[in-house]
Amino acid sequence: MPKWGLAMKEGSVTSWLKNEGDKINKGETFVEIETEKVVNEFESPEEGILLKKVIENDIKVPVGSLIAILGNENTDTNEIEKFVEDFQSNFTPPSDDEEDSNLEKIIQIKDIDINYLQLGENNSKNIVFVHGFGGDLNNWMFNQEELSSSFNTFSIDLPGHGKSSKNIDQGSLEYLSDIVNDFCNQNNLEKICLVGHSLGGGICLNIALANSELVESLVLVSPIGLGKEIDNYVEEFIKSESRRDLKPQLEKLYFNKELITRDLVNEVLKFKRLDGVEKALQIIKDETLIENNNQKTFLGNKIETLKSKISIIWGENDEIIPNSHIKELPSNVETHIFKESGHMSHIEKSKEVNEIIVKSN
Amino acid sequence: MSKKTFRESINEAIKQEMRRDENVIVLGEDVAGGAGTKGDQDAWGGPMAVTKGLAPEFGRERVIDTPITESAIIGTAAGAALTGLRPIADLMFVDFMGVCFDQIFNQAGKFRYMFGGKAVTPLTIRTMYGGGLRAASQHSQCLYPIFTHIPGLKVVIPSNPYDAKGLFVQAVRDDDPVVFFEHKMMYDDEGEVPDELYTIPFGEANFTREGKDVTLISMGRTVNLCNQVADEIKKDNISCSVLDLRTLSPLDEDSILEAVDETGRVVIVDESYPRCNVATDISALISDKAFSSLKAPIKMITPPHTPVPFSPALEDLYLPSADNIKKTISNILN
Amino acid sequence: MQLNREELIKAYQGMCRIREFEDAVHEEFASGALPGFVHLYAGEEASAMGICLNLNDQDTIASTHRGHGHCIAKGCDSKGMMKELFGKKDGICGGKGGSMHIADLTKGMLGANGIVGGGPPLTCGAALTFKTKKTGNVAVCFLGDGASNQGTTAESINMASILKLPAIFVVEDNGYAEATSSDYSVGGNIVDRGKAYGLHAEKVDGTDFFAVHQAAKEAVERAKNNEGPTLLHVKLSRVYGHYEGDAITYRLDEETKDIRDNKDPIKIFKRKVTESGLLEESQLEEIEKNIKKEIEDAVSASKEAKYPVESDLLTDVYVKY
Repeated sequence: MPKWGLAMKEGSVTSWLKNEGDKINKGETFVEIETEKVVNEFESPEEGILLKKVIENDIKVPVGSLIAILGNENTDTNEIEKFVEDFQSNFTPPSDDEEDSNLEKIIQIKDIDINYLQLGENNSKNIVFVHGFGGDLNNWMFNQEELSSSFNTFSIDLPGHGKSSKNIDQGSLEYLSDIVNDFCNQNNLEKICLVGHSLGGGICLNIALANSELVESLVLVSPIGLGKEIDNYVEEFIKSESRRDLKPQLEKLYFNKELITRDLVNEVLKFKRLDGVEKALQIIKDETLIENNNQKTFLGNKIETLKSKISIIWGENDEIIPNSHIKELPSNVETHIFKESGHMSHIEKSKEVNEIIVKSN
Repeated sequence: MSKKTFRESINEAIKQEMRRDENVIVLGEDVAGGAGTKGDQDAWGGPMAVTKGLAPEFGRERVIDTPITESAIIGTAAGAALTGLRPIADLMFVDFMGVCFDQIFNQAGKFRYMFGGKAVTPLTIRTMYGGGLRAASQHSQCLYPIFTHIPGLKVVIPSNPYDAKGLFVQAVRDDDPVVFFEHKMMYDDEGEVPDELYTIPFGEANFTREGKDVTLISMGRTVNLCNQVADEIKKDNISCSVLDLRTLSPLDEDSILEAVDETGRVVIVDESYPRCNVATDISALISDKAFSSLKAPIKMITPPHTPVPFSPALEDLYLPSADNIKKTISNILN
Repeated sequence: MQLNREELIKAYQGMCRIREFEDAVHEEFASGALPGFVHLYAGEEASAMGICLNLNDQDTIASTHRGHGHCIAKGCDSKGMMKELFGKKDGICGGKGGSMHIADLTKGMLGANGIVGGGPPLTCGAALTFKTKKTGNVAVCFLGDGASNQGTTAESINMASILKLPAIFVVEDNGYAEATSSDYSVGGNIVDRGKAYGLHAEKVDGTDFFAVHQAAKEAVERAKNNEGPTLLHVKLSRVYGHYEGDAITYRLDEETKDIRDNKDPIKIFKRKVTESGLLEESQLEEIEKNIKKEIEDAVSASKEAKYPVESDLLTDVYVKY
């Protein structure tokens, strides 16, 4: 059972995409796994034959548990059984990792708390991840840990989100950009790669336009600010007070609607129900995102002046902001459109997105 | 976010709401303790220490120790709610409802309706319920069906610390009279609870386990028993969903019907007396509105029709147990 | 007598309004026009008016099942009240409360109460609100000799005493709790009971408006000066039975005659103010005439008014469900 993001303690297999006896290539997805926060397909780290499915579907097991055996074609069945037995009798699930949860830190920026996670501090090249509206730093669970092996990565919770302060009285693009900018300065970061999604993408672009010294490269996933169309998702997300109302909204974010489980909806509701969140989301919507049912922010006409390297990624099936916003961009922008991906390509096409981030550095 | 006990979660909810809204007051027997004595002026904080630390912070004008006079306590709280305060009244053991029920069901519960929609009664009554403490017949009852029965009241019954804090904050902020049931055996239960204030709306049940073979529906402490059973019977290849009702009035009918639709088999686990309890109420609802989804008769796990016994040997037989839930599941699956 | 002309006029208007209202209800009920139970206050007017003329709209009163008098004295609209008794939609409670639950929170009338002894605890609540929020207001509880025996009353008087609440408990002792005399059912005496719990307590002649008014004035001052609650044992008589339909066989005819002739607070007031020259006979007759018309109009308006409809059945249970 893989560990996706620091918060993950356990997961379950929801379906197998391959059968026992099938050949699996390295990087091929062969099983679907569900955690408290997300459902996603797991890519095989190695090539081999799927010798044994070790656990039943829908049973929650701790991170690190044995879920499947890959091996050579003619492996002896007894050997397989013995391996499974030995592993399970010696297996102790990782303890309630106090250390891990302490990796998230709080920093004071402009009198509010900003929560962030730093992984890979021994590396020299810096990446800062900025999530989108209604999200938090866990949105980068398939990207940050992976990239932290070669980069010094930071993901932050925007004001009003995650574990950052909820009691905010402003939400303009300038304000949010200042916060992220100050964050980078306080951590003495230079020549960073800014990776932003949706609202976060707009923030990253805004920072880069004002501060090319700081931002060497930009990777934006379905960013705001490139056109006027936007789904009423933002409004509906704020208004939804129940599971029933929120589920169809969250489903709009993904190509694969099955990723939205009852558990995931519950997690989002828990966030929305914290005192101050509704007000914070409303302020950000009113000051940055929406005006008269269209996007309020427009940065598209400034892109050609951008000094930083810039890649923009879009899912072909993005229901929130249409992929047409990626067409008609100036030539200094490297663009990628992914099939079978919605508004959250960094989750649905994480491998590809990570490759693009690596390449742009 | 930090690990908190059920007790701490409710204490924190009260404390943070009292800081936020000066109209919130607490009253009841020994909610602080020590009134008029020469000793500790925060001697108890309630019999289970849920309200400890409040009197020292907010003073005895807002944390009021009362004589043992339930009808005056609850009636005072009802009158205060009607005229502009947000009182949290402590009905120490729900078994004591007999001496103050009029104030709850005939007064507080009916002001709004009788006065043509003009009254607002933001009263919260906290009360302890349930067996397992060997406290015997007059200190171990559930009685929540009686309150659920009354139009005008709301009945809330959390099963874990996270729900306890969110539902309690909601209860204080709610403009209708709410009776908040705390199982006396759960105060030391732990869970991850946000440090900030948050709410959970009433009328939203929660799926604590997902499954496709059978659904266990429950409320309060027995939800945890159902979760335990659901986890244990996985090894028998039975996949069991668990629905935690969270509030009995308003009741989340939609989630109940959704659950029945998914599995077709229902076992309702209810610690209250078997006649006219919540299990029978939900059975009728399911039978009326989801009959065609049923693959087996609706089963109920309740105590027998007797008062709660004292002897541990008897009380353990009396309360719903994992074994009788498993046996029942097995029966309806075969 | 320390009241000015305006106050005296108000007092007389109030008492006449109550009497006219109750007499009209008595007639309408007998004709079969009124549904449910009604309990009439006729004969007790001096108590309601004597107390309530010392209160403003923010002070509260809790009442009994015999609440029309308290309601009118506290300033509630007689037409709205009559419509309520008829069960009409624009009655003062939307037709949902009726006689026994008649209320107007904007006037501080916390409702008539169908439960004997239901009022005292609520009064402690209102008084606690005033004390906590330091509004300087006073909470009054009207209760009967029957309610004076209820456990809730004892508990509430004790609560008001120990918390020093700005409350006044007015025990309207009309000699009968339903069909049982208060001589029989009240052990010891009511003033002693108040004193036993540490309250200032006194007996007041409920047929004398001025006596009630004075005692109430002192009680209100006491409450506002943080000197604690007062209990007033007001002796008076009810003209009619416990409820309309009561044959009143437990009370002898001569007693009923005595009540009408010698214990009528309105007659006693009228005599006092005219004999002392405070008001003229003709003024009082003018008032009587106007009030009679007011109540007649209230009755005919009530008969014309519409009933609530099916969609009204489900509303007003909760603020939000």
